[in-house]
Amino acid sequence: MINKNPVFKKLIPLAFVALTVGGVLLVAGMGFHWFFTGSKPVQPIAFSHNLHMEKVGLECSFCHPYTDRSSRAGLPAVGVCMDCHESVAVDKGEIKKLKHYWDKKEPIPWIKVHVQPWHVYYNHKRHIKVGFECTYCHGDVKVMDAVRKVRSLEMGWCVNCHRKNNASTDCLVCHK
Amino acid sequence: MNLNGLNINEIFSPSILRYFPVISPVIFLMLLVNLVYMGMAAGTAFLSVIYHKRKPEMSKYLVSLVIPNNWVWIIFGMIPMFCLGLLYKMLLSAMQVSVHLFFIRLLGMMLIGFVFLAIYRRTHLVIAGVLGLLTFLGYAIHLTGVFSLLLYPEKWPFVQALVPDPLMTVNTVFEFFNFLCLSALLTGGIILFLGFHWGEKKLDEDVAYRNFLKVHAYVLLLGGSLALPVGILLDLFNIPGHALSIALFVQDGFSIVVLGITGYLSIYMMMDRESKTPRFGLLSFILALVITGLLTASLRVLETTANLETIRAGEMKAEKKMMKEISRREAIYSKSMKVDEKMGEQIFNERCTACHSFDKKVLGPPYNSVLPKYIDNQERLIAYILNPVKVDPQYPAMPSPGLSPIQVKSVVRFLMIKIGAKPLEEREEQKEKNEGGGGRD
Repeated sequence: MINKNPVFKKLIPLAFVALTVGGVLLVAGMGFHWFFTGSKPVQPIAFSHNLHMEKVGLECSFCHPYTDRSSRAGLPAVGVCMDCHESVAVDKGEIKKLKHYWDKKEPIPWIKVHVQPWHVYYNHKRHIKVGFECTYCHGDVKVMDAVRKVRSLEMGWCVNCHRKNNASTDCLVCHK
Repeated sequence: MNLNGLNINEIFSPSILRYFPVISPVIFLMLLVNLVYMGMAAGTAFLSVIYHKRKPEMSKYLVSLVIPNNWVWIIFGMIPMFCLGLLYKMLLSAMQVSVHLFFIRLLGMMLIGFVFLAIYRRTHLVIAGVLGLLTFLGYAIHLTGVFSLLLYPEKWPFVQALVPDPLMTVNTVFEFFNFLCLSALLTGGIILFLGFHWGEKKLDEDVAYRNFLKVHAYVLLLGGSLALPVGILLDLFNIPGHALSIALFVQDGFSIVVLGITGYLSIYMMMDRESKTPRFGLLSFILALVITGLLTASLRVLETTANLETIRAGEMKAEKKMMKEISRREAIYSKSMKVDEKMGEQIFNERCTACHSFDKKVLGPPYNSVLPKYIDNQERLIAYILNPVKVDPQYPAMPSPGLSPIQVKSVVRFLMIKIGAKPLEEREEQKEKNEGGGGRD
């Protein structure tokens, strides 16, 4: 059916082994690259949004108070956490880490999950005022333990939404 | 969407999500059966149409290989797709989009395709075969489009048209390519298995005819196993970050290894080893099934990772619905739908004592200092507990406890009795009596 040359016969298995190993190495390489750069970041404190929102019943604005007042949503000061954790769950490892930052008077170095490039000016207040839920852009944070990015937040996505809601798609709306 | 007053989201109850560890393997199985059968059906139909004129006997043999009668396509094609539509609707019930419409459309396309192929099998009219094949290709593009769309929950709100734009993404193109490669692998496998291994369907034709068919099967296997790794890598490269997971990389790595083995074996068999063909017939089919299984598992891992929050939100919704139902029934049977200080005490012990005490400051202020101001205005206290706001700057704001009005009234009744004040209900009763008495005077 095909060439029965002995050299050709010997080369075939080698070629298949090389191709398979090459393919597996490529997949492994992509996997390592994703694991060390693209997967959800490991935060300095394993804060669970699920626990605080679903079980305790806190609203987003409890910790991010400027969502409807400013372009930035704001992060809670360590003191806000300590308001409750001075007496709640003080023996837990993560709360001890929190206490450590509190005692040293240092902010918690949270790793930003929803990062926009420098030329994008996103305004939380405008979106909240017209009635958007936080989940629209951030996903259902209430059910996440560690927050991860579930919306691309890329230009195409923003423009699609602006078109759907009859919002301006002028360049200067988002780029200054 | 309403059907004669019935809400479609109520019909597809998400309460099944509590059994997610069970329904996930069921979805996997249904998807696997569907992909295997549709892949084989599309591949054999393609070969059959190509050789319709040149080799009519082989053409007829190929189309009846996967569709021997109407029951087979109903059982292996239609029923799994119907189940998939139902299961995905429940799985993504928290998404509030019409996932089921896509599956209804797929079911319709599949039905039309199989009807054309059934006509083609009976009458051997080439136009029916071509139409069936084209419908299958449309079905495959739509199916891969739906699965690509499942990787981007953010695009669902923009899905409006009958064949929406977001359906055609780069991922759709790569996944469609992968479907074609899988189809080639499965077709090669099924021809070698049913034609050369399994007794009933063994070919009793002349050697030239057998060899002709065999070469096609080997070429399909070799082509599929060489092209599919490229498709897998390209697909992997384009998958959005939030859908990736370690399991996916491991499964794709395994798929490439199995594809390498399949490719090598098919080229090895092409070196004219007639005597070993029957044994390889079985092995090649098993290998094609393993590869389809691995890729189906990858697809499931991808979708589950991409829609983790939606599925979890659905589970929570189902859990809440169940708890609400349980408490409603309990309330009916224990007749505790009225304000009751015992219920109030129980709720107080479970929910309030973490932050409040009567005589000392915990997280919130001591009750003995704040409650007296509410004795004459207990409605204000009830309103405050139902919807708390920050009052005193030296204390953190009280989070909403999520209690029902009856539960809050019971807690307030308990608190008032505890500090020695008259509860609201008795004050109102007294007031009514006084007013009633005044009226008689």
